[in-house]
Amino acid sequence: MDPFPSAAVLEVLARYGINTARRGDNAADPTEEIILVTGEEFERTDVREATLALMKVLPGKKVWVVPDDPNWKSTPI
Amino acid sequence: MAYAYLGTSAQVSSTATDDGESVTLDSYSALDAIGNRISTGLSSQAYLLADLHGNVAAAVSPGADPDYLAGFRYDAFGQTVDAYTGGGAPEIPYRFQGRILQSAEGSTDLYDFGARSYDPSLGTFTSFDSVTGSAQNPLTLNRYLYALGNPATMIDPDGHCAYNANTHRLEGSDCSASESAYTDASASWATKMLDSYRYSTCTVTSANLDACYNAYNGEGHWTEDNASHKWFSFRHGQGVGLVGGSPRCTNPLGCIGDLATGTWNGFIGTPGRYIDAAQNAAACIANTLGEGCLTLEGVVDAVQQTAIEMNPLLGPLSKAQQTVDNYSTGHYYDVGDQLGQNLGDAVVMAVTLKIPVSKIIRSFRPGATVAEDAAAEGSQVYRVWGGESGQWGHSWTTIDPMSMANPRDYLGLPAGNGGLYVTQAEVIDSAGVIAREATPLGLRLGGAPELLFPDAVSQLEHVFTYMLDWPL
Repeated sequence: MDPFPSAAVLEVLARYGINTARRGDNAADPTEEIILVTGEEFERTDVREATLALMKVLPGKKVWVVPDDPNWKSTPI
Repeated sequence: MAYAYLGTSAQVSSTATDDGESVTLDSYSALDAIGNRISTGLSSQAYLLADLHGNVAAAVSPGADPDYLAGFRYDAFGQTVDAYTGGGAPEIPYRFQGRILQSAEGSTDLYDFGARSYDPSLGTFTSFDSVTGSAQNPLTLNRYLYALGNPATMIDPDGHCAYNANTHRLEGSDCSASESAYTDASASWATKMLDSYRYSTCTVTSANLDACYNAYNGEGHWTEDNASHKWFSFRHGQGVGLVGGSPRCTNPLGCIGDLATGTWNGFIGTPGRYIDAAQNAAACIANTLGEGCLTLEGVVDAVQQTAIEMNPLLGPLSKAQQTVDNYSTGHYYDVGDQLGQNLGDAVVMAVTLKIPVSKIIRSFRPGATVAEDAAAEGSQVYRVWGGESGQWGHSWTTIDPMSMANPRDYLGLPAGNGGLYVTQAEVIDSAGVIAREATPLGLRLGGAPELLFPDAVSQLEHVFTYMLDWPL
């Protein structure tokens, strides 16, 4: 399995004005990548566009950009 | 009874023979007459109301307390499958697509579609189209074909070219003549489609029916009377009316009367079916086509969105989608289950409307906005998994994948997901759940409603899992 391309993901997120993000736990399905952002950034970002952009640096993954929530297990990107 | 054009006008006269002499009875607009008022003199008048497909579905009397005078139901190609005419309506020459039924009663139906006549029993025009087809659209090369063989999605307003509601374009190699019909403000189908929304400010009560009719230049578009829920009508596919004493009908598919009893019962009419006013599956009344029936829930997402996309007259999904909120139940109701068959709404719709199942099921994609309560506790969700993807991943869908023509496509499944299994689960905790339409992935279109659960293991309760005979 390829290592998670943290730098590329952060670069894409930065283009959309997202400066803080975490990676949701995907142990049950490594084909999913969940990017957790703050609620404020989630609200003001075109999430769909950001998701499609992230899919270019996370090929073959089902990518989600979602607001962080206490229910998520996550790690810093 | 015979009909003939009056010179080069858009008027058609009806004539009858009386003691060997031809007598002109009346003249009509040769164009569609949805929402129009017809009469045979002051003593007998009626307003024509449309079903979701732009067909004349019913006639009601004018006045403060309208009576249900007549009702008609058609299949997608325009064959009349049932009718009620016992309410004393004047003769109604307009039927399928609001077009004049040229043929005499008892003989094969034949409709005037302008340039040519159309036989709904054949599903084709009866003469060759003078407009040539194009190899770029091979269906147009069959110059007898009506609406490119897809009458649920397309209409043919002048007998020359099909109009595609999805693309809002005419389909054919040389439709310049037809195009003028669309740009004619007084007679164009395209304009009328827009009118459905443009006239949405017409607030009409049953008491000012005539006033509203006049206010809108005789186009007969009425909106819901929120005060009394007496009745309302939307022009061109936005539904038909409901009369007093019946439950309120606000479904965008419209309300059609009970053809068997000749009364309005608050049924909501999708093509060939109706829905129990009490929204109770147990009380669902067998409909006239006999393919089962739906509760109101059944319309919510699946059939409603299907019909909206297929209906060339309902216009943009986003507009119609607004009304979905009125019916949010968060799950689909499988018509097939009513029949004891493993068929979904889409299949039943396909059978009813004679169009490919894949066409219907595709409609889940653009209309796949997830209702906010889709993740409500008790809702059923599904997950396709296998290969690298485990059973309890985060991504789930609200639609049974097996009701989709191509789940891998609509769910935007990654290649690493083996698509070997389907798990159904019940939502027991919706905290932090996010909904969206599945994003495209490579050549996968995406679009199916998706839910993301932060911790599926604790938030979902397993219902069952089955292995697929063939991986998706």
